[in-house]
Amino acid sequence: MKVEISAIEKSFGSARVLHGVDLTIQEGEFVTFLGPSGCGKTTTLRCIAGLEDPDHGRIQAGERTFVDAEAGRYLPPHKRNVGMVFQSYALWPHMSVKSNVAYPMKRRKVPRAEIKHKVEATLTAVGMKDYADRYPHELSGGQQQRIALARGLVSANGLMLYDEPLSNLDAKLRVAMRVEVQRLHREFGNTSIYVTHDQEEALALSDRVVIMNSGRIDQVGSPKEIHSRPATRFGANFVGFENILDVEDDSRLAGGLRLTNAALKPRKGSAVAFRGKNVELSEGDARAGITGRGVIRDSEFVGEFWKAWLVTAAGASVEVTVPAGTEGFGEDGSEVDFHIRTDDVVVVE
Amino acid sequence: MTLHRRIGRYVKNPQFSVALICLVCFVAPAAMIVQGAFKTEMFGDAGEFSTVAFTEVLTSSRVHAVAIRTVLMGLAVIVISTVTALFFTAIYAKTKTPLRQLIPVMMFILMATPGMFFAIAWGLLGNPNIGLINNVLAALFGDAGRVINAESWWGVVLVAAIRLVALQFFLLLGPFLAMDRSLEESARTSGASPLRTFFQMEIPILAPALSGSMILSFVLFLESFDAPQILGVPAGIYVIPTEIYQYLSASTGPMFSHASAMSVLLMVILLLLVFLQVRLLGRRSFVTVGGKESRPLRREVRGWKWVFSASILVFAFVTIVLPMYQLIRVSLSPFLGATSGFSFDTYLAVLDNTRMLSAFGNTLQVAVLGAFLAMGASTALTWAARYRAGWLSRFIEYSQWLGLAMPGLILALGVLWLFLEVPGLSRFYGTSVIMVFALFVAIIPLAGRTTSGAMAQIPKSLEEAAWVSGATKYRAIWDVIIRLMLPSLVSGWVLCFVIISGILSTPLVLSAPGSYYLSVEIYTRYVEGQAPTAAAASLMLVATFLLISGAALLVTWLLRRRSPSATLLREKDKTS
Repeated sequence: MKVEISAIEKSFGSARVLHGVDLTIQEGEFVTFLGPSGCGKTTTLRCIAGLEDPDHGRIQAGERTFVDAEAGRYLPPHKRNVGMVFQSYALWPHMSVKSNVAYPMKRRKVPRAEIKHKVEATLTAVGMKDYADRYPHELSGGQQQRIALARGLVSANGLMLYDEPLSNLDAKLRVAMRVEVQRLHREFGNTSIYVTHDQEEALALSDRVVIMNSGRIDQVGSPKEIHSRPATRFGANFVGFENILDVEDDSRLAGGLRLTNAALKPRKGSAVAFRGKNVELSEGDARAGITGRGVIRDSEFVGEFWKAWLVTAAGASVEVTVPAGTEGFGEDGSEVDFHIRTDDVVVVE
Repeated sequence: MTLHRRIGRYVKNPQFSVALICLVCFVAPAAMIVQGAFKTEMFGDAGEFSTVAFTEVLTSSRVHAVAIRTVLMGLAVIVISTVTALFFTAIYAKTKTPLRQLIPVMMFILMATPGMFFAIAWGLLGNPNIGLINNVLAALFGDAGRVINAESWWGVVLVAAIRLVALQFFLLLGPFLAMDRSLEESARTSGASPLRTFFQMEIPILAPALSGSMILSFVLFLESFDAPQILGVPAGIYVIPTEIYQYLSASTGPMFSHASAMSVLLMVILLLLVFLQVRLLGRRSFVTVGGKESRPLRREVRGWKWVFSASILVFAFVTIVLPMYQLIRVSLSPFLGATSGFSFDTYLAVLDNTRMLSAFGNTLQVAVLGAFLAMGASTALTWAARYRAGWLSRFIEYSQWLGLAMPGLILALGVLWLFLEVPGLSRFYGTSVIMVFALFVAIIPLAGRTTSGAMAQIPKSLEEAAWVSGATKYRAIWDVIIRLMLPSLVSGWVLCFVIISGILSTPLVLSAPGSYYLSVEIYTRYVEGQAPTAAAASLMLVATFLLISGAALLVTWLLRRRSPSATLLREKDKTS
């Protein structure tokens, strides 16, 4: 199901949480909203589910209009036929696993025989066939999450919504369930919209990642683009670029570093970003995009590599991670030349 | 969005209909009282608006004396009930005293027993001529030993305090159990003795909860009518509610505007106190028991445990066994003060009296229906208040404070006025309808305490999951909220039922020929000197309570057995 979100705005009291969100999601696509808490990603998802009503904007899902705020039309959640997986699982404690999964179909007047068949098939798909008669409190966290997935899948009529479904699981289980979510997405072919604050999860799952910041979309791109070519300072920081330096003019950066490749075309007011692992300790050649010289400070050995700061004469600190055993990496206080290759430098707004 | 659509959205919002209920239940009676205070004629279009009654009430030296007396009595009640409640809460929550499990049981009995029964039982117990206590004293010291008189300043204070002890116990228990035990442990490792820790750490930490519960108790004393009316009025000791009733039952005809003016003043004070209490306690005031770390540090108290156990027994004996024994003894006597000839004749006479029987049937009917409506309404209110934030939600919440600030007597007056003034409603005057309405509104604050506590245990996402799964809002309330709250709803219903059937103030104003009310009948018999009849009828009502509570307990037990998960939720709500 194709989902079109246009110009959604939402305020809670005087606090504006969404400032006009626009996005089109293709049929069968897996899109993740990624951002820190309070960025509006969950609110956007809840607007799609119908659990919040946006103040302005439109949401169109396939042929159906979920929201047309200007016309005052809001399709109530029970008529949207979407599947949703909640952060807290939200399994009804007074119903057995079977009844939990059957509930969405009962509400939609599916014939009994079909309910029975579909409950079985879906429980088999999530690997919980043998637990149909248990109650939620008799299951572990991971098992409860599988039931929540099954219930969502049964309810989804082409559109699945995930609200940080894995954040209550421990690290190992989280990775296992991630694979499961991905598999079920392919198997059932739903359009999936997923909300998370975990970068790794977003990259691993998605066809496209949407980075959100303070109620606005910051960047939309493939996981690879998001990871290596962030568009803004916020995005670069969020995906782990340790170094973000302001551009002073077309050949100089804040703190006395030099831009040596005109192909970067930085404008005044923008910034350049690079990862600490891409800093090389030599003067560099024609492929270098940024060069500088600094004093090693606060170096610490963390197993496979050294972490340290290189402090330039003008006071800029560049965070670097250098593989253990690198030649020319000395004690704190020694001065070194360094450069970053043009390919590893991103110009951000 | 056009204005038309905007209005349409409001009307579709379920909060809107609930807000209308609040408007009818709380705001309308209060508004009737306020306008009544300024009207010279009670009903109809005759009469004009004036401030005469208001000025007269405000400047009356009798009213001043009554107000001062009420405050002084209230303070005495608070001191006594708070100290006692703290004592028993600490024993229950902090020590391994053998009999401590008895404490919540006896507190529950005290809280659930209607105030009128206490007042009557104590009126008999402390009767200088025939009371059990004075008989014992006389046997010990001769007739000069008959020094106890329940119909006195201290009598009213002590009887009012007993029930507030129970209430404060339940209000303090939650914070006591919820207190992080590491706070206590760190004080102990820093070298403080257990006693010092209790007074220097725990009491200050509990200060907001403690002051909140004290204010609530003060509010409830200001609203209490039964004990002051039964024990205070015969001795000429009036407090504000009985003074209001005095205006209503004046021999020269009811002085409605004076009663209303005084009610308005009391309501303003009560509203301020309720507001203060909510600020101090936050929403916790409505959640009876809570707390993350549910295993408080209970310690051995060595020799003290005998002292504590004894005090539990003494308290239970004095507050429960003794009054019950006195009531039973009187109910079996042929006349008040009889020492022989005990029989069941009085019971048979009550069962033979058509007026009594009709009152009994009517009371049960009103209480069953009123409690049912109150639980339903308070579930709707609690649900609506959390459904969506906004001014409607705030209105629903705040209007309930108005309910808390309207004592039964004032509410009855407001409801009476409402039914007589609003066209078409006056035909319900003198029927059970008006009584059901007034009592149901009166009990909502209490019912709300049960429902909001239970609903707080149900995460909102359970409901949202149902919506997304295709359930309408109402369907989700039924399938998820009601199902999960059912055990709490049943026990809340029992509590409301018991209190409605024992309440005196509201029926006293509203009962009329054709809709007799048992509490009014009991009170009248008692005042007229037919104490055995009053006692017998009271005990029959108590027996009915026990029967119905037993049935309800059975239902709850069955409900919990049928869905083990709901039990889990309940247990979780006890521990977390």
